[in-house]
Amino acid sequence: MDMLEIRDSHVYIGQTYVLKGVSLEVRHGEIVALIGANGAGKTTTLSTISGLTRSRRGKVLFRPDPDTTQRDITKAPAEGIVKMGISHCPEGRQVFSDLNVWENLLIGAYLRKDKQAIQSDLQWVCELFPILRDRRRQSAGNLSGGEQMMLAIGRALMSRPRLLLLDEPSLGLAPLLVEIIFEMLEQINAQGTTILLVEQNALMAFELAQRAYVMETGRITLSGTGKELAENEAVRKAYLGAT
Amino acid sequence: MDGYIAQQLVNGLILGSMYALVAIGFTMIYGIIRLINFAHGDIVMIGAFMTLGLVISGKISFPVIIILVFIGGALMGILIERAAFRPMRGAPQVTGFITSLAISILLQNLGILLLTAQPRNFFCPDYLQTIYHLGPVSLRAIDLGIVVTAVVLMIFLVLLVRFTRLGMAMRATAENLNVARLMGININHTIMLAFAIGSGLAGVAGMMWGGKYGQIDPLLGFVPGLKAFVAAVIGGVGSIPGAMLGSYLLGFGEVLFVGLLPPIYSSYRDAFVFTTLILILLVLPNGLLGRKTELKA
Repeated sequence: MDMLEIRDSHVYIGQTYVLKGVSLEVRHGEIVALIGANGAGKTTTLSTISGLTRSRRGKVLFRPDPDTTQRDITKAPAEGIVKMGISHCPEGRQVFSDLNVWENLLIGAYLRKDKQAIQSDLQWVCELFPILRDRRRQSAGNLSGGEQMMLAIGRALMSRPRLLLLDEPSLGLAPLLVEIIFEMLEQINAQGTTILLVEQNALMAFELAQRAYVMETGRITLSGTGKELAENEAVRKAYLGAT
Repeated sequence: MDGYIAQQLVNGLILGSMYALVAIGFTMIYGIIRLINFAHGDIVMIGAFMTLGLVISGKISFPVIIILVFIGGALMGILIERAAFRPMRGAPQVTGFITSLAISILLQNLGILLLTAQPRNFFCPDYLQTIYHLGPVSLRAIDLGIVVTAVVLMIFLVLLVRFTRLGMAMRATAENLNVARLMGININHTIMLAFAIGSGLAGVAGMMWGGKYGQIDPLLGFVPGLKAFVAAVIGGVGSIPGAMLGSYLLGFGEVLFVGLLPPIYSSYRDAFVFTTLILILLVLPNGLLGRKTELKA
């Protein structure tokens, strides 16, 4: 059974028709990549899941665990969706620069009441990204881009999501840092968090993900396993720079 | 002469304290939803009349009145936010600005309708009128009360914003509304809280305004509203410490301008205020403590 299912979602932003009937599924435990050019609607797809934008037509269904019942979250408020176990790490990091590193992590756990588990999750995030502990009293605005990305991922993990939505974690980072971040994503996934990843870096996305979707101008045009897509002629031309 | 200057500085402190209580709410509301709330000054007026009502109605002690007026102002702020500003959420900034002007006119005229435009004497119990002499400086008990109350309230506010979970949520919401929602913060609650605290402080400022000047009328909110706006902009609108700093600078500046120059210049007091504002904005467009980059401007 699928963890997340988007059924024929149509989304307008202002007057612009952005998602023209998007359907996709994410299964429990997977890493799924969503790739496509700028303006294809990848970010909108994520914010439709997390409740920041609303579909005019279509449904978003979520099942936190394989044995729970499926819930319709199409109209749920963003804060309710976080509570159900979906955490959205937004594009361009968007850490709170007025808050220090520790506060950024704590605010990720805003809805949680289990103080002791929050402390142990802070330890866990700091094991994944040790630099965050060293910088914990610094204002997040003073971190480097890579550190901010780690903080943004750490913050998203602090709500203990079942499903993590990641919007372009490689954006503007040095290749070496991207490697590190992708390794961490693999670890996070191995520890039980399902990941839906939006990426421009198609090659890395296909390597990491079990399955992937390709988006073009508001529609899903291709889907398959990472390997299949990496070998697909059209994908190779459009996204992997093959000639 | 030294005594004279000391006296003026004390007067500036008193004036700055009152401005600060109004400016804090102004800057909080702007910080969180980028709304320039021109109705904020009218909460000062409502606070003043609430105080008068409570003083006339019975023997309630002043500390209790402070709490009641704070709550009354807060409720008024919540009411205005729910009725007028929430439906405008997401509309262009100028819509909110015009809405706030409309609310301001509505409150002033409602005041005139219900209370008449006739200024009323503000009762102040005798013990608050006692004059103390500290060396060359003399001040009334109420002046002391104004400064102490304002400082205590500001300390509470800073502690709340810096060190509590709620304060963290407010700072996060002020910085980025959408990402705050992704953290699970109910931004409607946070915005309401900013209105409640800001308006509560403005209500208390109204109480002080009445006590200081002795007369109140339904249009009295205009001046504190405008001065708080200037103070908030000088300090860097959106920044709470900035609003405090701006208010005290404005208070000292006004008093010293009037106190140190020959009396014929004293009617240029407000001209001085706005010239200072323009000069500061020319050098520091974001105010003294404002953020360097304002993305949502």
